[in-house]
Amino acid sequence: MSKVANVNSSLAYEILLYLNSFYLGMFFVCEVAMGILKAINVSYPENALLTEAGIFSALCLVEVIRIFLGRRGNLASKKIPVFFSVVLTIPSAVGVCYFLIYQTYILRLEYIWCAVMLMFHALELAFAILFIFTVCKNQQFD
Amino acid sequence: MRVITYLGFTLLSILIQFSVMDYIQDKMKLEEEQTDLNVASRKKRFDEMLKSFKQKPHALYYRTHIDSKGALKLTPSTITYSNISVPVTEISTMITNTIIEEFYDENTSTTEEAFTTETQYTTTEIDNITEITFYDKKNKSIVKPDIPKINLRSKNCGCDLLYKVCDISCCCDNDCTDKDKKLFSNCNISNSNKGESQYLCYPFEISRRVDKTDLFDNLFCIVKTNIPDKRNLNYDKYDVSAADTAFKWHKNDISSHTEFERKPYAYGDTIWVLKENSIWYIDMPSPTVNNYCSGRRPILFLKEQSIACSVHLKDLEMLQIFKTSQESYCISVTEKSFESSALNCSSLHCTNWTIIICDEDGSKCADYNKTIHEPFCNESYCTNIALHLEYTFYYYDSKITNVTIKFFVKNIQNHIPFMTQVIDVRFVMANISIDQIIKVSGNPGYIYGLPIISSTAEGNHTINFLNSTLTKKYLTQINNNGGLCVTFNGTNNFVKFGINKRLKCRYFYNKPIWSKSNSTDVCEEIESNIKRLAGLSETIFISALGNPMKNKESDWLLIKNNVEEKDFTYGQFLAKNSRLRCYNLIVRFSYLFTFADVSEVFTKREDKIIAVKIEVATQNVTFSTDDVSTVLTIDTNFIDGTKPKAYEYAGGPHLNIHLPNDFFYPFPSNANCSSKLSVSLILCITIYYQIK
Repeated sequence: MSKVANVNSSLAYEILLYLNSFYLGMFFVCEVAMGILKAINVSYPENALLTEAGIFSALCLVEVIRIFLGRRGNLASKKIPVFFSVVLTIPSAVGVCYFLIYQTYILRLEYIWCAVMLMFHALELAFAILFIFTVCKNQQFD
Repeated sequence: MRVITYLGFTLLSILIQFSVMDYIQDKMKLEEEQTDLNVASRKKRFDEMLKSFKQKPHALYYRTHIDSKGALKLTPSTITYSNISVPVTEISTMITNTIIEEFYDENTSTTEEAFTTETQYTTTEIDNITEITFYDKKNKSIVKPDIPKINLRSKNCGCDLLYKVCDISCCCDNDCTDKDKKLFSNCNISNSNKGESQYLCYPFEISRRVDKTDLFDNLFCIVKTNIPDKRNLNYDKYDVSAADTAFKWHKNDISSHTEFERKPYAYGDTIWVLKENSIWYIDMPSPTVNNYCSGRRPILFLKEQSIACSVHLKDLEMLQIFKTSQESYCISVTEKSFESSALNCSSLHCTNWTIIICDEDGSKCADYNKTIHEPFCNESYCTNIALHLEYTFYYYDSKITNVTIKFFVKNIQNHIPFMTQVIDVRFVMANISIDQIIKVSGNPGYIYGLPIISSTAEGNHTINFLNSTLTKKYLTQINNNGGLCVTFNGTNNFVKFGINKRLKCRYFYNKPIWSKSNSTDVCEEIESNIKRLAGLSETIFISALGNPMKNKESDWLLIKNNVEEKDFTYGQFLAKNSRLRCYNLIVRFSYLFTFADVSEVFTKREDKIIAVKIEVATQNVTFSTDDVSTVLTIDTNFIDGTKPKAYEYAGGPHLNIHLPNDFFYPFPSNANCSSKLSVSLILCITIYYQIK
């Protein structure tokens, strides 16, 4: 007799992560293009462009890992990957905030892009926490 | 290893997903079924067509004619393709706003399969290149009659706008003598006589209109910068003495203009005045740190200037000018001046000031009369206040012969703290008034913002334009003066090329509605008045080119209208003759000008009006006894006939990329080993970042 596993995955969380993966691709391409545009048209202080490029690369890497962990944990009903995904939300949001507030030249378009990204982070954080609670609540002890 | 592979794959997939939409896959399935429409079959068909020609075209460009002597001989194709030849570019004034459809309408100039026609090959006698563009969408190939411009020098002088008068800084103007050209800063006489270089004068091309939205400009504007306040500057490297030896930027130093020299005027010199046996220079107010007229700048010889700045009523420039004009003379240094060292009008050429008072729109002008035109204020408003001044210096025979200052006066309210005054300075190198000089609106094509040249004569329009001083030379239309519809031959009423606008004003019928027993008669009289006001009652021709001197008779276009097509006007008295209702009364006029750039050179536009029409629209209007008025709407639209009415863009690339089947659920349930591995890996990365 096979054991029936509890299905705890959150559909809303999965949709958000799925959409976020597309948005991250767009964000990555557009920010790179915008960085090239700015590098051509405006002058940067020393090393500022290099610093921003480094932070942006780190942000993209963290985002990829965060989305991967989130999707994996959600679909496999594992709370630990989702927990790390939640943890990674913090550096990721900080990175986005840097581009929203502290980067050298902030364009209006970037305000919009970063705001949407932060919105994804906030919603995913909320649903991830809900998901962890759900998994803990339904955990069966043998 | 599997997790790392997946990480890389996820990143790649994100990028691919971004560019590939799911619906493309569905679309691709549909397109696969339509085998006739794919690229390969089209190419095959195109190759088949080319085989029928002995002389094959080069790539996508078809040379329709090799030279004027030997016509290109092509063997007629035995295969007949359903097609449509290039439309005949016959321009009618009836098509006005849809003229583009005749030029570039994709419905008429597209063909389902064929790319060109035999007719086009064999009958074209012009040495040109026809570009054929292939559009992927709908399997259409669009034959664009867009003939690339040939980069040739035109012999038209674009800046020669004054007839038989030298235009300032216009090096190619034949009316200017070598002596005149020496005065201009931008003309090199030695070069200007060497062939084509004298035709390189296009100063007005800069003022072209740009019709585009600023949406993208807003999105791409920098809203915030975080540049550090202090930069690392190496002050030790600064060499003070180097600044004196290096080239410097030109600087408008007023002190350099304040020293009088006994020499004829040259370009950029200050204009001198003689006041109480001492020499002064003329200046005018200018804004400095803010928009207030707090500074002054000299008026410079042959430099046309225009400034606008805010000022208090008591600081108005017109009050200063009244005083200056009575006390001083404008002077010029002549040959006689070198013989004497005295600074008076016997040794210098002195010119009096001519002050002219005009109304606000310049329609009525008169010489200044102190008793009539002196400005004064009462408790509520001030009269004869000029917020717009215009200096005109006439330079002829190496001296300033006349200085005219026009005051455009109006009444203003007394309590306004600041007002904007506008001061224009212009120079005319002639001995006659600027109002008597014939001005064209481009050479030869129209220039944006200059008036449309018109003629009300029955024939010989060009001769009439040059000779007649009485008839209207420029097209006028109804204007709004204090809310009322007025029309007169003033600058503000001219229809200016390229300026689209909508104007509304109120027309008043100055008789009671029961002045006639028949209501229809009253309505017809009202409409007749409106038509007369709008100029529909007379036959008007307009010049197709800005310079009518080069016009043939066919280049004078009759302004047509659709008045005859409208329903007849009739009236009806309502409520015991206290109200009058007019049916089908003309209340809206739309001036439609279609123009095209007919220039053969890349560097210059040559806008020619190819059609003009006034379209009227009617409305049922009810008048009451105490208010026999209605609002008229006048639209002016300039349509560029060389632009297609709609752009069609090529479709996106078709990428045959599929997502992996397990993309949406890539985690098999028995992947315990990889799960632990991935968790450990992520943990390591996270810890590494936290420590860093």
